[in-house]
Amino acid sequence: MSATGAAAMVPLYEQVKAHVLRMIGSGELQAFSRVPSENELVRLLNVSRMTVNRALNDLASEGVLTRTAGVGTFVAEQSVRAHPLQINNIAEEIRRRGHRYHAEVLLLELACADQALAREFGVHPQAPLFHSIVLHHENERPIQIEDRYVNPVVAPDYMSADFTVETPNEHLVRVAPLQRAEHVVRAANPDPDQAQLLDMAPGEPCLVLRRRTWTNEIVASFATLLYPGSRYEFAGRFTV
Amino acid sequence: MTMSLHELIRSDYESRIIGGFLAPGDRLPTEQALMQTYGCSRMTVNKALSKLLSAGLIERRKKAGTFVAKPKVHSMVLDVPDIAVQVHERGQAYAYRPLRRLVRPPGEDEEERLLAASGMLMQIDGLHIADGAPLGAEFRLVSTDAVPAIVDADLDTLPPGSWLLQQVPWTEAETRISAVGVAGDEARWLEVSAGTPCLCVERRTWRGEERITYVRQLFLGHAYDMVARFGPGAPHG
Repeated sequence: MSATGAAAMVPLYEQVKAHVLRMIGSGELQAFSRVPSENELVRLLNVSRMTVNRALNDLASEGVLTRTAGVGTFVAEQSVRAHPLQINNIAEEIRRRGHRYHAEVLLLELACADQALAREFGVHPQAPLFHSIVLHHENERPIQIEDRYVNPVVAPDYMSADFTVETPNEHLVRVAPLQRAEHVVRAANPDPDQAQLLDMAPGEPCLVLRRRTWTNEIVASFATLLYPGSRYEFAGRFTV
Repeated sequence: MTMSLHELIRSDYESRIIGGFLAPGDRLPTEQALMQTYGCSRMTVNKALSKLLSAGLIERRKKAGTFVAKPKVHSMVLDVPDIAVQVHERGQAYAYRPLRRLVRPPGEDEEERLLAASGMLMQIDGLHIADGAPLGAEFRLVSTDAVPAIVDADLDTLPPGSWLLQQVPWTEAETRISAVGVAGDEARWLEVSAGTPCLCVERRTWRGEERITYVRQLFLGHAYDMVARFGPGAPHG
């Protein structure tokens, strides 16, 4: 965090608040989650303790956080249901269940849009796209194959990201403001490679989610997420 | 971390809205107030607000101010779709074939007992057909306590789901979506071999405290998908 140049126009404590709010808005911190300690934030954001303290106190008086002396600072309970634009984050979902998460990056390369991808992205055939395949694990067991294409225009640093530290979704949420999303869910048989990667039983079907997201009116990302049918379901409860 | 001021304002409000700290209908501070809070020009504030506007997160009401917008959601887990309508929207002809229909007491199952409450259950099994071919099979239980009119309803051509959507306002729905290999009777009704991948949708709906219906639907994996869109308008392409 810099106190020079253009950033000097923005008070540092406001930048700290923005950082915490982004962690909440992206789903990285959920209601009742503990917010990183003041010391941790001082180290992470390279600001003074006084700055962090002011930011957290501000957010507490706004009702976003609750601070309890000797216990810690937590995200306050939201009185409203989370906005539907809060895109599911597999890493956070797994951690929220109290399980261990880790990612294995199977592929990260520059690719050319074929006819189908050109159509999905609204770009010319052969246009460059970033392509990543990540195998997400829950308690050391594979739970999702994420095969994702990204428009380099919205995420120019995608290829230098470390997806064992930050998921592709987290990277995109950070660099590209989400505008809208389209999900298509179906059931299908995995191919033999996919079945093996996901440690599936013979004949077991997959839950397939294809997700397209837009940023600034362009298709930012197109991902195919594959889950083993016996170990995953989508669930939701809605009150009118 | 460097960030322009209008980006900061936009990001602040985006996080608050998506994180649920500002609810649909909540009023945003006036332009004047925002200018004061962030120590910036009207142009900076407007730049931030117009990004939030185009993202569909806020809306301007003439003379009233700027408010958090109600999310335009069509979500597969937050909605109770009408299958007949969905099939029509795909440009296909829809038909419903009833398979089984009876009024019976609840079984030992906790689910059935809760649904039946102090009455009986109407079991309505049927087939959803698109362009003459089976699309999905449905196994449904309706509480006769909550919906006494179901017993005499004409459900030979109208699927019970559509009938219920028209007749009974629901207030809460819980949906679970999974992938299963179809087995036994259901495979035969769907005219596929056992083990064919199907999208399984289980749904429970309530009206207030009262349970209305439980349904388990199996849709052929190659013929059916569920679409959900989040954000303003429908995407093109």
